[in-house]
Amino acid sequence: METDTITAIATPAGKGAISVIRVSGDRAFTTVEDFFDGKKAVQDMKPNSTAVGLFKPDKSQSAFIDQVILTKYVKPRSYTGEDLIEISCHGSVYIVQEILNLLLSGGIRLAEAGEFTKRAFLNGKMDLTQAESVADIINAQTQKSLEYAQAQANGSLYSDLAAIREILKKHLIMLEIELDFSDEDVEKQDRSQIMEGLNRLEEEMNRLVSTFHFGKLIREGMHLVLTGKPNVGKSSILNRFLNEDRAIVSEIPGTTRDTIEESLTIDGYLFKISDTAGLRSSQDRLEISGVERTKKQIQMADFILFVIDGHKKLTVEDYESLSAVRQLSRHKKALLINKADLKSADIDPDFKTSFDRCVAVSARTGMGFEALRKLLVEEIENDQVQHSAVINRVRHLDVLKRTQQYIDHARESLTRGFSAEFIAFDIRAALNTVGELIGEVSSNDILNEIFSAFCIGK
Amino acid sequence: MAEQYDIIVIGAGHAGCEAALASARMGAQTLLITMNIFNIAQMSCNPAIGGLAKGHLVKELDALGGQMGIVADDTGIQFRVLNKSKGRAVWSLRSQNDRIEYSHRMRNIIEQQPRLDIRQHHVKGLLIENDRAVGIVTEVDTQFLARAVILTAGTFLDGLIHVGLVHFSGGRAGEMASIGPSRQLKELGFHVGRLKTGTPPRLDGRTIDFSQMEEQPGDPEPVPFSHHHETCDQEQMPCYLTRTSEQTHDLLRSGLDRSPLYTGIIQGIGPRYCPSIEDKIVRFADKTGHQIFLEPEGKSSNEYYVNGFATSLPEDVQIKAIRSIPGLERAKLTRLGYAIEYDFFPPSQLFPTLETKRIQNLYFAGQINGTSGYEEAAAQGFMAAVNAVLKMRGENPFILSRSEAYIGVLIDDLVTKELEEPYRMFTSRAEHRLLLRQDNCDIRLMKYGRQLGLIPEEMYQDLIRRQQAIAETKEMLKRLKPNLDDVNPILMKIGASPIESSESIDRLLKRPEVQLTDFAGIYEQEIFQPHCSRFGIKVREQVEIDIKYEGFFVRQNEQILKMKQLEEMKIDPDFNYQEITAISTEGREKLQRFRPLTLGQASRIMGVTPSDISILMIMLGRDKRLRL
Ligand SMILES: Nc1nc2c(ncn2[C@@H]2O[C@H](COP(=O)(O)OP(=O)(O)OP(=O)(O)O)[C@@H](O)[C@H]2O)c(=O)[nH]1
Ligand SMILES: [Mg+2]
Repeated sequence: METDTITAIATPAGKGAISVIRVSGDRAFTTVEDFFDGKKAVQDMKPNSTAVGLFKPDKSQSAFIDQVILTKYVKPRSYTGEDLIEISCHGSVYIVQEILNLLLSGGIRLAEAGEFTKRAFLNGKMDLTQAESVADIINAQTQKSLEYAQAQANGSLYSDLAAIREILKKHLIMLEIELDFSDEDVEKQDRSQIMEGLNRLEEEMNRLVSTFHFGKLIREGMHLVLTGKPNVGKSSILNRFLNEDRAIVSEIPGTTRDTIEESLTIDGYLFKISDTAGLRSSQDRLEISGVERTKKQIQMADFILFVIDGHKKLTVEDYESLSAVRQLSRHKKALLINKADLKSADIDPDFKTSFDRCVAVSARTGMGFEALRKLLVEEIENDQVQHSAVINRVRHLDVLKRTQQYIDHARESLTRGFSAEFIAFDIRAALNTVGELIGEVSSNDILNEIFSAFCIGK
Repeated sequence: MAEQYDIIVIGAGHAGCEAALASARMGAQTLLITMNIFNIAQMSCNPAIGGLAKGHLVKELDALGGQMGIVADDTGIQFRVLNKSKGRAVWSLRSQNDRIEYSHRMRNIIEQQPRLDIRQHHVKGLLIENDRAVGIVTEVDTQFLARAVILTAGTFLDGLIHVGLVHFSGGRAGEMASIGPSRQLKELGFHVGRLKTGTPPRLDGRTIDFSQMEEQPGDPEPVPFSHHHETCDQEQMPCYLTRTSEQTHDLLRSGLDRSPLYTGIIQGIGPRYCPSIEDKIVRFADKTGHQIFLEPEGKSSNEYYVNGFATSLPEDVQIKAIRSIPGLERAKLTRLGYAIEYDFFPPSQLFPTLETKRIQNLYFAGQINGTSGYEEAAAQGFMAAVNAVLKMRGENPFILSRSEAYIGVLIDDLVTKELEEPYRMFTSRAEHRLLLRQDNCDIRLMKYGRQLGLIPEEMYQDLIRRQQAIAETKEMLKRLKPNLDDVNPILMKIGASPIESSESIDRLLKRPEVQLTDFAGIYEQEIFQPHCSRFGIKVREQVEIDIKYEGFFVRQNEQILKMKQLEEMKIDPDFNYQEITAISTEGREKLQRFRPLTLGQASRIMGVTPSDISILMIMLGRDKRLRL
C-alpha cells in the first residue's frame, strides 16, 4: 500500500515530561538512523527492543538536540503494520519541534489527521468493526486541525501566506496568458519583473522561516536575575539550583558583593542565572559598586526572580528594592518567598500584586523548587507556542521550506532562459504547496481571473 | 420489422462522425443518423481546426485512430504552429480549412466505411427499456434498434437563435432544431442546463480591401496533424488582421438596447473565452480597439469569417459596425452573426466512459455535454464509441488518465467538475502539461490505438523502431565525450561558455542554448548515422527534449506517482455514501451525485476533502475485506 514514510507526535497534546514521536513506513529505520547516535545502530536493534542515544542534527558533530530512547517495531508487528519506530524525548516544545524538523528534512512527511490509525486499519491491524470508529477519529482530528487553522486565519502567518499566494498567483496568471492566449493581443510579462518578484518573495519567505526558529531565548538561554534585599537567601537559592556551593552564604547581610553568573538546563532549555549583591543603600564603596552591577544585571534580565524572606515581615528595604527593580526593568517578575521551611509571616497582598508569578520555596530543603522549575519552563515557552500546536508549526515550516524550493527552481529556470511553461510548472507547485495550508488555487481559479481581468477571446 | 444495429449515432457533427467511424472500424454494425446529409461535419463556427491546446487534442485523437487530423490535413488551406517561441509542450498546430471541402471529405470517408450506414432522419425519441437504451424512433415513426445509442446533437437540442430582438428555433443558421430527445431526456429525469454561444457574420471576399490589413501567412514549412502524413504541400491561403476602432465601439454601443444579451432575453451562459464583440466593449470599455482576423472559408468560396466579431446585435448594427473597420468600409455581409441558446446535459451525469449514469447503453458526446469546439467534440465522440463497443463486447472500458492525454484531462474534468460555462481545453488545465506534448502523442497513445484495432500494425511497428532508436541514441550520447579542442569552438560559436574538463554530449545538451545538430561536425557518423536516418529529425527531436528537460520530467513523474494509488483504487458506482456519516455533508452530497469510479476521481470533486478521501479509503478497504 502506501510506501511513503510519515511521522507525528504520539503523546496526547498537552504537557508531559516525555514526548513520543512516531515514524512509520519503509524509510522509518534509515531516516532515524541518520540522526541517532547511540551504542547500537537502528538496523541492529532487535524487534521490540529499545536503545538509548543522542539525537543529532549531524552525527559527525557533538551537538545534540536531546537524549532519546528509541523503540523499534518491525513490520508487520507494529501498530501500523509497517516498520515503525518510536522516539521518546523530553517533553519540551523546543525538542519535539527540532526532532520533527530534522525528520522532515530527511525526506519523510508529516502524517495527516488520523493517518497512523488509517494505516493500521488498512494493513489489517484492526477489526473490521473498527472501521467506523477509525473514520470518526479521522473526522474528529480533521475538525480539530480545521479549528486550529481557523484560529490561525486571523493570525499574521496566515495573512503572510495569503500574501505569498497572491504574488505567486499573479505571476502564474501572467505566464498562463502567455501560454494559453498567445494569439491574443496581451502583453508578455517582462522576465526581469518575474525574477524581481520571486526574489522579493524569497526574502519574505526567509524572514518567515527565521521566525520559526525559537528566538534568542532558546538559543542563548533565558537570563534570570536573583535580586532582593540582603540576606533573604538569593545565594542559597542559586546553590540549590546548581546543586553545589557555588556562592558564599552567610547570615551576614551584604555577603555577596560581585555578581555570579551560571548556566543551567531545565527540560532541555538553557537558562543563565545571576546571583547579585542585595539591594540597599550603603556607604561601603565595595557594596555600592556591587549594587551598581546588580542594577546592570536587572536591566539585562529576561526574567526577574525577586526574593523575600517569608519568615519575616516585609521591611522598607523590600519595598525600596522592589521599586528600584521596577524602575530598571519592564520584564516579567516572579516573587520567590524564601525560607518556607520556617514559620511564614503575613505578606502584604499589595506587594504580591506587583508580580506576575509567585512561589514559596525553601533553599534549605529544596521545597517549591519543582514548581519553580516548571514556572521557568512555562515562561520560556510562553511566548512561543502551545504543545498541541507544535505539529502545526512544524507543518507550516515544512510548507514554507518546500515552497522555497519550488521558487528556487523557478528562479533557476528564469536564469537559464527556459520558456514560460517551465517557470509556470514550479510556480504552480509552489502555489499548490502554500495551498496545503490556506486553500488550493485550481486551474479554474486561474482561468477565472484571466477572463475577468483580460479581454481574451475571439 | 425494425432494423437492428450494434450502435446508433445520432448527429453527424464532429463528435458523431468520429463516433460512427470508430464504432464501425472496431467491427460494430453502425448507423449514423443525421438531420441533413449535406451538412456532415460542418464547421459551424470558424473554419479552423486545432489551435492552442486543441491541436493537442487533434493529434492525440489521430494517434488513437481518429479521423479529424487526416481530414484537417487534406482540406487545410493554411497551417501554423502556434507558440513556436516557447517550449515544445505548448506548441500547437492550427489549420485554416476549406469548410465545404472538409464536409465533403468527411462524408466521403463515412460513405466508404464498411459496416457504417448513414440515414437522414429527425429523431423523435429514444427507445428505452428497463433503463436501457435499445434504439430510436424517427419523425416518421421508423424504429431502429441498437445495443447502444450515442447522442451527439451539438447545439441542436431545443436550439434558439437570436439576432437582435428577433429569435427563432433552429440548430444552426438555416437548420432545424431537434426538440424530441431533449424533452424526453428531461422526462427521464436528466438535468438540463442552458448554454449560449455565438458566431460572427461572414463577408463577401470581393468587398474586402485587404490592402489595408496585415497579411498573416501560414508557416513556410507547414507540418501536418496526422501521423499518417509526412508533409502537407498544398497551396496555402493567408488570413488578414485588422482592428476595431472607437467608432466601431460607438456604433455597437448604440445597438445595445436591441441586444438580446443586454436586454436579458438570452438566459444561457456563454463562454467567457469567446465573448461577443458587444460583451468585449462593455466589459473592457477602456480598450480602444480589438483584433479582428479575416479567415478564408475556403478555396471554393469567397466568404470570409470575421474572427473576433461574434455578435447577436440586429442586422443594421452589424452592418454599420463592420463597415467602420479599416478595410471593411464597403464590405457586404453574406451571413449574419447570431447567438444560439441550446440545451446541454451537465456531464456530472456521465461516467468517464461517457455512458449516462441514469440510462445504460446511452452515451453523450460533444456539445450536449457542455463543451465547445470541434476538437473537444471529436475526442468525446471517439471515446464514447470506443467504450460503447468495448462494453458490448464485455471488455474493460477505455479511460485515459490525466497524465496520459489531454483527452483524459477533458473527460475527467467533465465528470468531476461543475460546469460553469461551455468547456474549452486550455493547456493550463493539464497539470502534467510538460509531458503531454504534441510531439509525443504517438509515443503516449498509439499503443492504445493499436489495441483497439484502429492503428495499422505497420505504423505501430514503425513507432516501436523509432522508440528503440531514441533509447539507443540517448545511451550513446552519454558515452560520447568530445575533445575539448573539438567542442569548445562549437560552444563558443553558439554563444555558450566553453568547458574546462571533458563532458558527455548528454550533459552538454542540458544547456538551453545547445542543440544536438551543433555537434554534427564532430559526430556525423554517430548521431546522424544511417540507422536512424529513416526517422532522422523525429528521433533527434525526442532525444533532445528528453535530455534537456529530464529534471522536469522526473519531477512531473513523481507527482503522477503520488496520485497513482488513488487512481487505481476502484469504487463501485452504486456505493452508498449516505451511510458514512464521518464524511462531510457536502462531500457526501457531491460523491452521491458524481458517483466517481476511482478514489482519484473522487478526490478531484470540489467539496470532497482529503479527510473525506481517507475515510472513503477505509470504508472501501472494509468492504473489500468483508467480501474476501
Ligand atoms: N531557614 C532557612 N534559612 C535560609 C534559607 N535560605 C537562606 N537561609 C539563610 O539565610 C541567610 C542568608 O543567606 P544568603 O543566601 O547568603 O542570602 P543572600 O540573599 O545571598 O544575602 P546577601 O548576599 O547578603 O545579599 C543564611 O544564613 C542562610 O543559611 C532557607 O530557605 N531557609
Ligand atoms: Mg548572597
